[in-house]
Amino acid sequence: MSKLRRLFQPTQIATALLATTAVAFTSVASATELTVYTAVESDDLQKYAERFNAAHPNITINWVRDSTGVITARLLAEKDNPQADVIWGLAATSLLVLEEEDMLERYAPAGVENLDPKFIDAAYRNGEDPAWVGMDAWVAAICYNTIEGERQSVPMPTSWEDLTQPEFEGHVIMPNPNSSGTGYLDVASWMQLWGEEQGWDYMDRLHNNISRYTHSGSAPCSLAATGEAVVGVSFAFRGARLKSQGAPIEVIFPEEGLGWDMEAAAIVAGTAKQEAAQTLMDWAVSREANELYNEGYAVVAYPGMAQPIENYPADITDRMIDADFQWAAVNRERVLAEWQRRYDGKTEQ
Amino acid sequence: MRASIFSAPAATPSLEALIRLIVLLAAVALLVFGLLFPLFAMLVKSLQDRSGDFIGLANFVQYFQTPALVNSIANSLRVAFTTTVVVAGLAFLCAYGITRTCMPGKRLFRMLAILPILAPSLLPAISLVYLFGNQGVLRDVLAGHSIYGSIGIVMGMSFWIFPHALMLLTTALTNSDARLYEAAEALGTPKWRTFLTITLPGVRYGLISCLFVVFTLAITDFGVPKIIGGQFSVLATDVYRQVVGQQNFQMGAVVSVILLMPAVLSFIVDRWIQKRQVAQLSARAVPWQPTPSPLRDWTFALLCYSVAGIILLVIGTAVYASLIQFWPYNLSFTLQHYTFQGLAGGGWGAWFNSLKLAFSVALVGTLVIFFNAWLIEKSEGYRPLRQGLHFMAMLPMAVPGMVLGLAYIFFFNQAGNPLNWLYGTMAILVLNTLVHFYTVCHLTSVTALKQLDPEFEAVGASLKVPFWTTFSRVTLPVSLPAVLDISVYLFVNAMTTVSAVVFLYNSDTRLASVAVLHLDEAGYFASAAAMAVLIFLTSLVVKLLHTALTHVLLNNAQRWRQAG
Amino acid sequence: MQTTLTSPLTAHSAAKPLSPSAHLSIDGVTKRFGSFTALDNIALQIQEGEFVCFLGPSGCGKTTLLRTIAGLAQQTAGSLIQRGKDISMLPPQARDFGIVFQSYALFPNLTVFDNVAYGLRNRRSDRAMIDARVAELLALVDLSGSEHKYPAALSGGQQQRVALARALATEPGLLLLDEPLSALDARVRGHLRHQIKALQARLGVTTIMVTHDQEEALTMADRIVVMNHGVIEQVGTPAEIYHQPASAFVASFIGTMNFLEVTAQANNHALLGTISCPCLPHVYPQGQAAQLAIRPESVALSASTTGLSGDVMGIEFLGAFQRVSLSLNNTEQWLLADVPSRDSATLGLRLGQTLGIHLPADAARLYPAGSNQS
Repeated sequence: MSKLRRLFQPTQIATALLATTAVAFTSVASATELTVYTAVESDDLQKYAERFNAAHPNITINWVRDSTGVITARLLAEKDNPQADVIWGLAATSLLVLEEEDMLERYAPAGVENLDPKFIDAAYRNGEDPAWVGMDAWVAAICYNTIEGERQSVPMPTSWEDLTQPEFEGHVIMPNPNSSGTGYLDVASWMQLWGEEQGWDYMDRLHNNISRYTHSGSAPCSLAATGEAVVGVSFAFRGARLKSQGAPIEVIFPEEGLGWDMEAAAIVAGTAKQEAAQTLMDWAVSREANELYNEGYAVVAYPGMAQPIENYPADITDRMIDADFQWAAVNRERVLAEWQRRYDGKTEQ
Repeated sequence: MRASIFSAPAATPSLEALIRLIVLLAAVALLVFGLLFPLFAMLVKSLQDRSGDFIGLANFVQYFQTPALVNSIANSLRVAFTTTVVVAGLAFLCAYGITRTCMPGKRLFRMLAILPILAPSLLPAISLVYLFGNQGVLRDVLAGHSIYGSIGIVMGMSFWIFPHALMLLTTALTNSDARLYEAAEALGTPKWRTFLTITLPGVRYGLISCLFVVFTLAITDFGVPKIIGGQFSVLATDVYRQVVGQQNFQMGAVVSVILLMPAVLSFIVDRWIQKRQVAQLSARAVPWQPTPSPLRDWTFALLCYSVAGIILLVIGTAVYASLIQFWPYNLSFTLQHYTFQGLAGGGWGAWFNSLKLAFSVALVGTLVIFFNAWLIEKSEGYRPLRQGLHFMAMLPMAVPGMVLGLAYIFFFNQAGNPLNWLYGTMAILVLNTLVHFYTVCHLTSVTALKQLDPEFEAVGASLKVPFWTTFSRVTLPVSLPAVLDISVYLFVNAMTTVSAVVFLYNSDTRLASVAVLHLDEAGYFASAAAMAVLIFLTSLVVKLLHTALTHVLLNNAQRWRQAG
Repeated sequence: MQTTLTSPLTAHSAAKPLSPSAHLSIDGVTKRFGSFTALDNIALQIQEGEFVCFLGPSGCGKTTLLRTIAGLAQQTAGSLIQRGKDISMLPPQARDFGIVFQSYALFPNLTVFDNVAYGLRNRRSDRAMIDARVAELLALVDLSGSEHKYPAALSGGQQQRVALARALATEPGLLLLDEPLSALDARVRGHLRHQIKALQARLGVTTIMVTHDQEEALTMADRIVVMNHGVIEQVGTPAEIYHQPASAFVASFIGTMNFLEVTAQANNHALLGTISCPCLPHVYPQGQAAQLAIRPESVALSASTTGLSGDVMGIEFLGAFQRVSLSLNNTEQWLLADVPSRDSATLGLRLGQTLGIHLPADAARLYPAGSNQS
């Protein structure tokens, strides 16, 4: 008992308390810490940071990752009190929204002139510094589980229209466009392909076949890969990766055309860490960085260097629709509200 | 005063009184800043528009005009009611088996029945997908119904709420008076009448209390419906969807206020019952001892073992899922899902953060809560302050985790708040978790303290020993078993909770339980299962250590604890 | 000290001029809990070295008064002066007392030695001095050799002696005993009663004991303070309290007392039914209803039935004497009389017998009607 009693002497308690507090609240100090908001697939974040740090070891990246919709909403919510220094890897449509709100700091990264002009904020063409620069394109795709398809007699779709056929009822999973960038990309691309009215009509019919809407854009493909669903509306990157991991899926690029969005980077206006933020931006447009993007994405901002990727069709660039990001950005809030009104109440009954 | 060798000056009394007042005020401040102000900030938020202008009940009007949102109220009530019936019924039968029959293997069953508490509520949901999903071996049991939705939610909730109900009902059924049963038997009363007229009335308060606890847990749970709810939305997932998915904080606040209501209501009813329950059992009651009856004993044994079997099956499924290469197409074993390499959620770093959180909450929380309970119970003076503190200590029980977490955003993330620096730190997670689980710890402390002689403090004071010496030399050591119970309760809950902290982590302070959620969201189901299993194993190890430590301590203390 | 005589305490029988040897002087102490008055304007002087008992039924305020003296409860009004020092507002730690509770309140996780040394440790006395002091104290309470036992291993009486040793360890000027014997069985209680009294006499420590047990108070106290409803009914030596109760309450609370409804008469008489009985001098006007109090042992019975008489309705054998219940003949009232065993044979006591009753005037005291209900 005497040992125990000593354990409870006040000084010991205080010491123990302090020690624990110290352990709990100490974070590693370093030269500059950048808070970077991103929607890049978490598979790759570590790799992004490592490559960047190989060139700039004195800047530490604190990632805040979530799906596109969440990060966008979070940035908007923090408008008056921004927490992020840099955005690295967020849908261009989202960045356009942020630019509308004057939340981005214009900056022309060193070497930006080497990029495909399509991948740079349109203002750059008018001689201004761009508010954001693109990194790569991510492309809509359908993941189809061949084993489950055969077992449940669900044929392999080849077009978006196929998904509205009766035999797909209850077998299709797609991301909720409110939270998922991929989800919004799909919605926006259908509207650009067929016009707004036809787009809603398509989604009304598609909605009948949807078993559920997921929070993230990669989940539908993962669910198709494990056979929980037969068809997952997702994006090419995830599908290709799951397929190479051995999932019995086909990555299908619907014949009507592929919606796509750009991942892009920007400096958040008002950051106290200008210099480090600019360093990161300079690196983000470098050839090195584009090689990194190319490890997952077939289309990158740096022209003429992209290598083909396993499980991607070679002609993918040709099949991407002529996307109007400006339209997608301007109409984002309205379209999402309407989508929510129409489909968000879908419950089991 | 007579000259004496023992008359050296003691601690200055005024200093001691001052210190006592300061710690009392600090305790009040903790709950005012950690509970009341955030809740108030949330109420205010629900009455504002996006730009922060007061708009009265307009948000509520909008809420009730949006069918997608209003549906969730009925959904929540339905799954909560169903879960309550399932859990209370099952737990009553099992508790009856434990207390009123001679079924074999009671100890083993009680140990197994506790296991679900050690896992995050996300774990059963993940397992259920593997068991009853489109690829699940037990899929046909559902006869074509989907596990995604109310069925899955009720099953998942029943799993992790069951131990809570079992503990409450076991306690209620243990308090029996054998004299009543002997009287009934002497009068030749049939067994079923004895049950209806003696057993049920005897446990009615425990049973009602259990119903409300289960209902509250079910209606406020977030983890299970998040994972397995599919398109079936409930209030707790609505809060998350409004806040995280759409950053619509005002609507999040509105849903929170609505979610708060059933919880507060059941809190009030429960308090009312607790008050009435006092001294129901007279001190002269003789505990009832069951006599063997093979048919009855084996019937209950079979039931209890089946329940234990289901618990093991659910946990086993999660373990299995975490070890399979690529389910269901490549069933070879692998540990790769435990590397969390390059996946969402923060991997082992998140687990380590959870460990830090759990240890900090267990240590700081136990001392703070126990010490505060001691101040409330054992101080003279400052009566309004102490009563206020007790009331505030009871409140967290009525505040769902989602609501508390959201309230913290509103309060601590205000630009003008001097406590703003806490936002996004480990400290706010510790504070939040401590407040979230305050009430049970407080009640445990009060119960333990009430068992102590009320005059210890007076004796200490008369001997001119400062109060903290008496606290640390006597009160704390004597209450050690209760203190250890509190610390392990806090540890396990800090490890497993997801609802409140899901709003409060940042990139440095990602937690394992939140990682389970994010891994699942991103479609890494095996890794989500692995992380959930990791949390479960961590809690299990700590629980086993706690059991061993308590055992050793009680053995060591046997010398002074033995009856005189 | 100078201010203590200004309050209306003179209204109380306890009010005496300040004695230079007063250890504790309590003046106008009032304690209210909400609308309930637990102590009402209490005034009391306790002399140095005195053993005082606070006696009264439960809820009379005696424990509250003790706790107020200790500083464990704060009085609503009034002052406390201990050895010339105003302690009214001091916390317990700053007052000079040791205390023993009914529950013993021994620290269960500490040995007998550590319990007794508890207050010594804090004063940073050196180890050898503490050892010697603890040994001395344990010898004092007859518990030498129990140093390393835990309280749970001791009997109730032993535990209470340890508590006593612990309270005395720091040589307090005032020893407070809060029902120290109530939790013990009768035999141990009698023994410990004697031991505490002897110890107190030997050490000369001023002692206040709270008790609801009149026998305890009568046998141990130098002076008894009888309390009821938050006020002091009487202060006096055990003999004064027993033989000259100042109120019907005291008369009824201490020992057994007959109360007979009478009408006051002039010339120190009272009319009982139709018979006029002499009694102690009283202040009641002729014709006023009053009650006559007389102890059973003072009642004299005889075979001659002239004057006051009654029928024997019950006989209770109590060892040294027999208690006889009588139904008075001229009034429908009952009377108890104690008859020493050796006299009962002389009387030929039996049920139904009619006996003459004599109420000695010097044992018959008048109180206001209906005032003995506490």
